[in-house]
Amino acid sequence: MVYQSRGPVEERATLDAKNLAGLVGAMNSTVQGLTVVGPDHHYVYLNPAACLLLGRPLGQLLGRNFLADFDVADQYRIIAQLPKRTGEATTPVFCVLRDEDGRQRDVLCATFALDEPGESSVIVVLRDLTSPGVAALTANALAQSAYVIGTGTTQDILVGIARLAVDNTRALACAITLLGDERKLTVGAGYGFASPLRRTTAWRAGTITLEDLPGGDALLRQEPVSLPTARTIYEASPVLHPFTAALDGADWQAAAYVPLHLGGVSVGFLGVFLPGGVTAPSTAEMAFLSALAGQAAVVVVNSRMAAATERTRLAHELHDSISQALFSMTMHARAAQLAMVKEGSDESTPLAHSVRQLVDLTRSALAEMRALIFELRPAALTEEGLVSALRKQGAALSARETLAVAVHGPEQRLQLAGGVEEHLYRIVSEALHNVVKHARATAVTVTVSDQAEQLQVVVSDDGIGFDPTATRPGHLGLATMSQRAATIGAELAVRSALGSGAVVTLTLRR
Amino acid sequence: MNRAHPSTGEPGAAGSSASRPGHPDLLRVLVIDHDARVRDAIRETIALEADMQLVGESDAAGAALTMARDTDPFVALVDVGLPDLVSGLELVQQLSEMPSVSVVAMSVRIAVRTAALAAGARYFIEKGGDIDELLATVRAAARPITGRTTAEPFDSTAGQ
Repeated sequence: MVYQSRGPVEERATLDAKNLAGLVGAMNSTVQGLTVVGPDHHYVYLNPAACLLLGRPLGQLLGRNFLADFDVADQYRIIAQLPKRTGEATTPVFCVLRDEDGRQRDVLCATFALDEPGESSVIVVLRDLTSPGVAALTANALAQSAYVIGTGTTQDILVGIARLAVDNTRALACAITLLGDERKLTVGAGYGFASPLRRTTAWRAGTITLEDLPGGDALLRQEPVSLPTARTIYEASPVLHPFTAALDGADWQAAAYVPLHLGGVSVGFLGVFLPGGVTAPSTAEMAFLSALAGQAAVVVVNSRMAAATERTRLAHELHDSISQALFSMTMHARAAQLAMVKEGSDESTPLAHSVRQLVDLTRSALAEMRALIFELRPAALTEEGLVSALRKQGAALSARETLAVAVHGPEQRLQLAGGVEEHLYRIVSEALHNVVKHARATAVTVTVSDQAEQLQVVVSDDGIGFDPTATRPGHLGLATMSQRAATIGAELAVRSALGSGAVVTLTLRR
Repeated sequence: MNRAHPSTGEPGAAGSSASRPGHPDLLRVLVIDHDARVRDAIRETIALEADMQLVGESDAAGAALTMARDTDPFVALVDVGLPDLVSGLELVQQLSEMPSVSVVAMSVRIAVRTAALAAGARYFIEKGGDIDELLATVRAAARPITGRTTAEPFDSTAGQ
């Protein structure tokens, strides 16, 4: 029998009987499960490794529908991935085989089309993922496959990743913990625990910080951590005790953490709990877990970005809707005023007073809406320009507070590198915020001077001032302001004395 | 939703394409905005102006063009976000191509100003500014560049 494959390749090798025998020999001894499946999806050939993976003797398998041994959900995915024609590239499918005893095996299922004259068959290759030797490459391949990342919510995907960790290594359980603002930790997902981790109140409340975790700092440096005596430490720690409770009854000793990080930002860690007698994951296991952690990091970062984008979108919609309402109110308030004038109404009546209030309030609300857009969409700042944006903010502040805000600056747009205007805006905003909160001033002036050698922004108020030596930098946000200034290579100088106002000078040398 | 506003001086002239509804001496305005609150408020505002008349209002782009042809306004006040920026700008362009109509574009977002002017709007109004200024802009948009004047000179009540 001569077999030829008809694919997109120009050169086609011909196998004669001798080569074929050698090839069959290789197929028989390889650890990968190789099978051929007919057009009706029944097995027509299986190598010994495939029979082992499927947990049944060859006699039982020949003629059996190959989909029968997979989870129902996997069956659909496999069918969807079956190649329609020879040479068509398909994505391997991560799926679960169930044998007669209900035992699960995670496999990678790859399919290739085979065209013999008159009928089409499919080669199904099953790659067992339970052996640690397969390690990092496999973890990457399967975790990147759309079927893992694309399915379900972020929570579902993280649980799936935790499950992969447990099913493919000696780990008894795996928890993916997320790092949020102010180094707070929350449980993202867990697999293999006797009771759900999320019910643990302390962890749910988000009061646990990285400091509470032994080896936490190493994670910030993006280094894995190994704790051979984890159980002793966890049982003694009230903060970590919930994990031991959730591992109720299991024989475990050691734990290991692998950091989740992307682009230099730490977003959490993947922790595994190891059975008694195992002090640390093997090299292959660590490689596998690191690859999984890498995928989990991508998932977490993406979901955070998506949430932030959604929030911004909603904020924009709200802003626009309110602006529309305020615009309409302005017109109605004006109409009311004009009507009163027309009727010759007395301006001192309660009605006249109320209408004037309405006009003022509407105007101030509009001013605040206009300034809000810079919070919602930083790009708006670049479009508007620093001086114009500061004017709007000034208008919003004057409307809201009993404070006269004057903004002086050039009419033409400043020539500044991208993002610099935003930082300048935020620093000045912080300075104005301080004036409002602390200065008890009646007037504040913002002056932007665009000179050849430098750009300077001065915020000066006539308030009560403060003693710079006696004030903690954090109190007036001066530390933040200085940091921001440093980011763009600008200098921040603050001059003040009790009773004589304050002057904040921001200088950006060109 | 579309509404043509027949003039009180010409009963029975509503909506017919053969006649030109509206008082010949008044500055005829068409407003196109998806927000009913805004349309209501503009209707009320224009009603207070002796030299202006709202001849129609619409919340949809397609109907707006038909209405512009039927009501023959001097000025079309158009929100460029209707219902999204791409369609809104297209509407501005199509209305601007009508030789006798001047388009004043408006939006809650100042960022669209350049695009609106590029699409053919004669002026752009950021919603939320001074209303007298808005009215002055509408009057300015009706001036000679379209070759049309109103029959009587009117007092520009607002500053320039």
